[in-house]
Amino acid sequence: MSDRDSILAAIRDRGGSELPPPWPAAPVDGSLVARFEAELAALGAEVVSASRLSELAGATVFADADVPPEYLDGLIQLDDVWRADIGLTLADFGIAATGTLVLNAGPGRHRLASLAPPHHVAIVSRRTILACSDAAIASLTTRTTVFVTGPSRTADIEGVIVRGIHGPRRLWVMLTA
Amino acid sequence: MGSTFGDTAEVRAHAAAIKDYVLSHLGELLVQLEEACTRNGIQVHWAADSAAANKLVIGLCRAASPTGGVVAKAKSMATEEIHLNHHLEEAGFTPVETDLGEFVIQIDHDTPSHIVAPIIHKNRFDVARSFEREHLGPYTEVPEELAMQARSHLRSSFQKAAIGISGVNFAVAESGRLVIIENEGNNRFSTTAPRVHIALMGIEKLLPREADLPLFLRLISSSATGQRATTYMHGITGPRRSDEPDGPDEVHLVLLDNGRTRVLDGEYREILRCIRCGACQNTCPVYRQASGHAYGHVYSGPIGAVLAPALEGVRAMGFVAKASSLCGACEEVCPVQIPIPRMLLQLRDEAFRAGVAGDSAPWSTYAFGATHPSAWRAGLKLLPMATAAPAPHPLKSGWGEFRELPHRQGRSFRSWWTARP
Repeated sequence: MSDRDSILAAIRDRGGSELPPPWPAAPVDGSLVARFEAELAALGAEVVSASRLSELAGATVFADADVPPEYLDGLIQLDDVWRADIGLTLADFGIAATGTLVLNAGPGRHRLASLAPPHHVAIVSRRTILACSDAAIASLTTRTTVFVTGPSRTADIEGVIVRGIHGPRRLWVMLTA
Repeated sequence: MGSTFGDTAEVRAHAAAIKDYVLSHLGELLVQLEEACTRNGIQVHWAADSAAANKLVIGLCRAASPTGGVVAKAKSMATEEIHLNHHLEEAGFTPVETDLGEFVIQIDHDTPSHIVAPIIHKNRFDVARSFEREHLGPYTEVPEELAMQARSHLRSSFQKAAIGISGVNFAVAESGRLVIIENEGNNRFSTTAPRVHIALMGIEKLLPREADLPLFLRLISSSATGQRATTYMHGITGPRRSDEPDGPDEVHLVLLDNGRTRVLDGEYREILRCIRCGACQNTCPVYRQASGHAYGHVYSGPIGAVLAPALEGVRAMGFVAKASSLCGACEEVCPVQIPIPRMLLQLRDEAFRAGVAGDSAPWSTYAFGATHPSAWRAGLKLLPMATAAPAPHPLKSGWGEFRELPHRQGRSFRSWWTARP
């Protein structure tokens, strides 16, 4: 008997109990954009305007294929994600309640762009900011996704929070129309 | 901690009811998960026990990289449970733990003492000495600098590894999505950069619907680390698709039983609701004093005191059920309302009936004395002589070696009582 068969044979489903409905989403009061920005700030991420990109002139960047070219002015484009100073990506959604970015895999979307470079810059449209993760999860496709909530961090050594342990130390979020 | 985010009793009861549904429909949901994963291109494997799981994973590793090499390991209690690293090393692979805490554990040949914070028993000086010994950089005691030394050291592992191995926090039966949460990013690297990703998961870690994720993600984040959301939530639905520029070419899911189906059928069934948040460890007065290693098992604290004997039997692990004051704090903080104190009592009873949890000699002596007045009286007379005798003797070895019995002052209560007017 295969392990599959023996495991399934050992499980005697009792059935019976009904699956409770999903827990209802908590509403978010007030402006979603304002809440999104406040949560990002609390996480140690920065909400920046496009003009801040000029500060990065001369830095190397690895950008998603769907990032509009005007964002790349003054940056040196690399095709090696492991060596780039900056990863520049779009985000599919923002989640106001937690300051989370939703990045779905897809054509031209390099999963490592939001992870390997020490500085991640994400472009999010204000129109895509959802109240909470319930709405974001409901709109997921069948592709792999990642939710990013603030810069990479660890508290393994004495509970001291250190940013940028494996993923980006800096996270900039640019809001567009 | 949880109450900060409104994790009321009602929310926890709801989560418990969803997990109970999973447990009473486990066979059906596992088959549904298998179908959904297969549809998504995830290859599903089943392992009845730890030996089968190790054999399976090593077979997959050999197929992916016949000459051995680096395996990037993301933190996973399931892989600890089956002692996978040891087996990988024996098979000629070099597993590299990439979570900062687990990395320190690995270079120190230590074992994790907490489900969520593996090196909670070490301080910055311990880590500093280990990193200096391993030549990770100039000696420093600054956590930021130590973390950066680990970052640069581990980067090459992510790039070199042909295989990444992870656990799974939640697998969604309806969609076949494997959900992994973390704060560091090493898990994303391990499951994205190598050509082959192998995920190992206990069969109970299922959720029925995608719509159950928000509740469970919130509960696990707030109960584990007091965060509203962890930094990363990776929702994996399969290997890289032909139109995607990166991601693994193969994703394997290994479903591990290793005693779980036996637990499912027995009196400790609700322990399988556990989502491995570690909240019971953080709150347990015994765990906090004794630390995780004292339990002698990968699962420690209140959850371990039930799970270890439930999985491996009271004969082997029943003694850990005694490591509790039964104060009930674990049940109070548990996000899925597992009745841990009730189970601990039941395990003690079971162990006692099986004749494997008798009291140690000093306690048996004490119990005999406390229930036999004449023996008690004789003992009281003998005790001063016993403590005055030169070491070594039973009262001055082991625990008693560095402690003193209280000195007797004045007459005994009994002699006062009989002599009172």
